[in-house]
Amino acid sequence: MTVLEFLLILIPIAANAAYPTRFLKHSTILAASVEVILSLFIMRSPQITGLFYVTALTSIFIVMVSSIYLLSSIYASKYFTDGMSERSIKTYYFMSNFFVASMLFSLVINNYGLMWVGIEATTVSSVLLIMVERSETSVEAAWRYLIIASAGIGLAFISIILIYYDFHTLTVTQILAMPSRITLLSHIIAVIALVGFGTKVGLFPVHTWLPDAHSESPPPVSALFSGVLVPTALYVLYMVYQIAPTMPFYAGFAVATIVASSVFMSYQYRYKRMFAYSTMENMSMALLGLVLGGVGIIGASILLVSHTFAKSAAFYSSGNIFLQKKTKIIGEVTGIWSSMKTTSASLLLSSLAVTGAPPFGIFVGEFIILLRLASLHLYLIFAVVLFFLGASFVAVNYNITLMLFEGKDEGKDVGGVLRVIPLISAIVSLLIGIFALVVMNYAIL
Amino acid sequence: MISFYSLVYFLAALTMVSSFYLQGQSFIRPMIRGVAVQSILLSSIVFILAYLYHSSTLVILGILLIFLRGILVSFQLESKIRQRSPVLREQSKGLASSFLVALLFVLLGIVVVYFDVFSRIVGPLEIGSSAILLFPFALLFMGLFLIISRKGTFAQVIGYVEEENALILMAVFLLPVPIVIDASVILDVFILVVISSVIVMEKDSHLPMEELRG
Repeated sequence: MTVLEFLLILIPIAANAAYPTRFLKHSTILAASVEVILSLFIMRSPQITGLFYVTALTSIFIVMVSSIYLLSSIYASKYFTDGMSERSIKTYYFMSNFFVASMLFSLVINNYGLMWVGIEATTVSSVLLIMVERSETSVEAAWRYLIIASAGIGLAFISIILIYYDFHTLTVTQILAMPSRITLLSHIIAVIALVGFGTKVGLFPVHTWLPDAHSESPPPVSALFSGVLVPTALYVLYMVYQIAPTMPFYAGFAVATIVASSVFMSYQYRYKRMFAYSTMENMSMALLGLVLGGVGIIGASILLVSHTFAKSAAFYSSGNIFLQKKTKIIGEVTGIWSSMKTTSASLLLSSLAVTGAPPFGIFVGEFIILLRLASLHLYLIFAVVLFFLGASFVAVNYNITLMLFEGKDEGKDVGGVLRVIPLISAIVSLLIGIFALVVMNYAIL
Repeated sequence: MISFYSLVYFLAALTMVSSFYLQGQSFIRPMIRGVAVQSILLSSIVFILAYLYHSSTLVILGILLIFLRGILVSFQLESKIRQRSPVLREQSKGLASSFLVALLFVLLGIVVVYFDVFSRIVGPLEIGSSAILLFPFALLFMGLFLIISRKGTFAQVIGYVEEENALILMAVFLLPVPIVIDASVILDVFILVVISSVIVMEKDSHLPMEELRG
């Protein structure tokens, strides 16, 4: 029903009505809980109407956004306590509500132009979230994000103008219903969209805002960025891609990003930045799956859902470690397995998950995408991707193992909610993988 | 007698002149006023096209451009200058050389993007030859170059506004997109400028930082 999609967008905004009171935190958590329930209803019966375009794929993204919205809101309620002004905490909840609403708007709207507006609105609403702690590096990261993402999205607007010039409409359903016509113009549309929206997705070489913003944001914001903002931009890019599927070009960018992010990960000495580059790799792999089509789309969907929870868990765990150790440098965190058992467990699970260890969902997703590559006889890409996925696996897990098991630490773990949220998130990622494997096994049999 | 179409070309050429002025300017206040003039020139083009095409939506777009981009954006930025007087002058060295590089960048961009690509995919426009798209492309590349070449927050914001002006100019020349989208674009840019001014208060220049390397 259209009303569900309306509610989906309006509820986070309505939560901001509590801004003048001291209940903004509570209204945000309540709104996020309602959003999760709503998204599950929408998932049961996706609708395509005049105003909204919600397919089965869209509904998966909606569930991802609302889930991380809830987890981040709960996590933030305990994370932002010491040393932060009431005003900064209120800014976080206020802007995160708008941020989530703009992501959901981009996902459900049946118009390419308004999708673009939604993506631009995600930048507007999330800049202040990065610098909510007001450190010098976070302000610089926020500025880089603002100027690079906005300039990139500005270029993407050229593709929107050209879509309108070509089709005389921006309605997604009308354009996708038209007979396929691969012309030079449609190729140009797809290529400009790749560069423009690709900036927000974090594709190499227009990715430079991503590691800065992810590493300098507070953990609930990093989780929202990595877990749902980047996938939302990927969804919009994929919607434009469907107008003119220029697979070689998109696949080329995806593979280049996998290679580059793997190289960047290999020499990172800051753990949050390392996970940020891991996001680039995961998103490129998902993009590759989407553009390969067929079972590749299923693989990408499994990868994206699992990544949402796994990467959020990684950033929440990183936040816990930063709270206790006050450093983001890998070499300065040692032996925390002995002192922060639960956080260490969630960090280990999430790092295994994001690097595609079996039986996590990302492994299943990547496995399906690799199978798709092989079935299309793209053996060179298959080999390159497999090699660099392996290199990333070694780089990330080697560093995390050092942080967890090398030496002995005398500190203590963080409080209850901060420990539990990353663990839940990591376990959900594991369950998605097991569920996907069971379904695959059943389908094969 | 000068036709309205010639007037559109003339105003479009003036927007390009304004972009060169911005590139060569080191004082921030004249830059803000320069981009306000550019926005007003843009809105003048939109009003003429509204008259030629009998389009009421273009009238609304023109009003939004004058009000939000020509007046409010420049007012917002100037109010921040009053609060931070030391940043009145942003860069004093290397302007002449960066101006030449900007020219080369724009020429190269136009050759590659317009002559090699767009001239082949865009037919004659309602306003005349598709060559008129050279103006928004020049503006776009100048805006991008301003963002790349400057270290100051103000100058980069102005480069961004210039880029967005180029996009609106391109849209009105090619085929004006629905007003709801144009209006959203203009509002988004305005809010971004407001947010930028928060950052201006925290940090007015942007140099490499160790924590953000690699």
